[in-house]
Amino acid sequence: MSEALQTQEVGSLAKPDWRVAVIADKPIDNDSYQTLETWNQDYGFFETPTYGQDVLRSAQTEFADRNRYSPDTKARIRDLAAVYATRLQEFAGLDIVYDGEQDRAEMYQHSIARTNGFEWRGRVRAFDTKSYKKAACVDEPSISEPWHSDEVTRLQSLTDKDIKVPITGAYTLAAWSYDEHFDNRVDLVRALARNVIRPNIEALLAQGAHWIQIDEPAATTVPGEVPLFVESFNESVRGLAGKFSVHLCFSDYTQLLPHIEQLENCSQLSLEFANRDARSLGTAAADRPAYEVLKDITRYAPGTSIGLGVVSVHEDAVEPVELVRDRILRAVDIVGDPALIYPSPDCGLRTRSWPVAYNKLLAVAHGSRLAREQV
Amino acid sequence: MSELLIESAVHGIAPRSDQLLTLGGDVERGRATQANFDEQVAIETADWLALQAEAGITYPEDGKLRWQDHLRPIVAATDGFAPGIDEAPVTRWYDSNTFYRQPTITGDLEFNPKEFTEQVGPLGGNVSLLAPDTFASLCRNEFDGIPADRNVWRLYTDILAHLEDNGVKRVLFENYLPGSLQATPLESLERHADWFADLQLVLLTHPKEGGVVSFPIEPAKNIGLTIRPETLAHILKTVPDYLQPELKGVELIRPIIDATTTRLEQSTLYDEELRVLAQYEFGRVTLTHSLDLERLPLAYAQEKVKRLGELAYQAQEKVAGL
Repeated sequence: MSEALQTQEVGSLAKPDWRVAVIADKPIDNDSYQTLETWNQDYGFFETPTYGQDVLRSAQTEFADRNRYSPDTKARIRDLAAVYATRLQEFAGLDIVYDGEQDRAEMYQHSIARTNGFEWRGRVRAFDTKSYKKAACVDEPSISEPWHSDEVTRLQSLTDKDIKVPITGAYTLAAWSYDEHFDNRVDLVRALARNVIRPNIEALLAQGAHWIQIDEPAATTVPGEVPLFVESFNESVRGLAGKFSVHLCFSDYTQLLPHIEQLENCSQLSLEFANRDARSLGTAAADRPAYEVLKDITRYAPGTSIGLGVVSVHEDAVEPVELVRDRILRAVDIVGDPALIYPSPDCGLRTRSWPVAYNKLLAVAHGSRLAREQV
Repeated sequence: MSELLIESAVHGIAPRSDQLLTLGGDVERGRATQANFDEQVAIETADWLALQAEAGITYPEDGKLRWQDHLRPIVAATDGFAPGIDEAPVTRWYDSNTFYRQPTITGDLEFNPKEFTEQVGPLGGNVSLLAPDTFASLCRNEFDGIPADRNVWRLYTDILAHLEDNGVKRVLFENYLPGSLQATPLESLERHADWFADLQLVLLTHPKEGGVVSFPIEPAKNIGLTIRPETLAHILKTVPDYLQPELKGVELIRPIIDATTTRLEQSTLYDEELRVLAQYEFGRVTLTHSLDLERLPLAYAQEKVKRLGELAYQAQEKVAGL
């Protein structure tokens, strides 16, 4: 039996201000030095309080001379952001980590920018003030080279923790794009799974990654197309030797239920729950309405582990650890085996500041410890 | 020669420019002020209206650029919802990569017109809102005193009266509920239509998979109907003879522009379709777009509006020749 209630991230963290400044070829704020020192002195990320400041200083000097940053400097800043993002998750106490997707602009944009056969069409609002760049498929999709290899190689040298690699799935890439080539989403999804996602996964496995999380937030948005999502997942991983999971969020999971058992080689469903749950404490069914769907999930997919969203990613208020504990205990009560429960944030925390994200991950870890004492 | 009148309507939330999208984020991070944002909204609203005027759109709308989603300004201006709508659960908006904040009904819904005006700014002559039944279905209901749909309809009574008092002449209800018009949305509209004597209410449905507008129905005289584009001619051909008089004079809303694709529509209404429409003596056909144009980047949405105007003009020319 594997260890119970292992905690995990889901993917993204925000990019620190100094990383954003360098991406945009804008000056790095002097406050950035203090920010790094705070993480080291107050949280203990690195013994040397000034760790990484030399990279910032060198970048500042270069910008003062040339009014822009060289590709080498941008890469060093990116790597420093990945180092700190990884530390943040380790020090929050997560068992399974990634690097906060510091290489990626955004889950859709990063993938499409590296996929042949797409052209950008412009920005579209997602909600509130959040937007994303949207592209159109104009030719047969393909890749020139796999695009997650460098970040995984770097992360393997940064941490001894287990690593879970998030990769945006074929169905979501298709659903969030305009189709100007196939005139048929089925063919677009199949082409993306076969020509784009599968080769990326094969490359990751070849370099030693063993757990790939396929992000498919769009999976259940068109009920009639859920079988197409399932087909694309299977096409992406069929016959490959690795551990595979799928992440969905902000969706109607019941649409997936009749099709869950058709998912091949899927060991975990990572789902958002906290966003739609009540805020008061308690472990009864009435106290935890968002988690009731687990009854059906467990019935349709017995033995599949659950990436259990226990903190919301769309509000700054940090959940009390007792609330996190109760959400986990309710899930354990329904699923039965605590080894099948992986407490997580609802989704990537990229819309929260690092202090908020850190405290939410801390709540995930502490709440899990409290729950572990009771199961 | 047919007397069928072909008109055009733009509705819903329009796309924000890159500048406005960036400004919105900057306001959130304290890098710009709300006044900066409002100023840009005013500029882009004027541009959006000018574009529609140039395209010859019969029923233009202001694009709702201040609306964070379809429900937010109404919720913010109404007592009876749980406080803190800006932090409410983020919930996927149907089959899209867009989201809304889900309101929770906790009591009798009481509309505050002054707050609503502050939220949405000045209103034009044409306004689109979620259909009340759709609005209710998108809320979480924690109030036992009255069913959610009745509670929301009562709220809408006040909203519509407020709109009427402020010079709004036409309200288009966007109905996302699956299924047919035999269900509650149309019945609700008919039940309440008499309360708003000078307002023209129009129901635009967004049928889901398998959803087809169905007959028999008995439309009130000031209520428009939507027919799913690809089934229009087929449905009308199958209308029983005894129901045909019911259709006379009714406005038909025909989504002809697809808001989910960047491709520009190349054809106008099929000739066969126009002949059928004329045969049933609809009062007028209003061409529009399928969903909010916010699903497209601004430049593509602008082209779609222009094409909508062109298609309406071409269709009217064809009708004249029938």
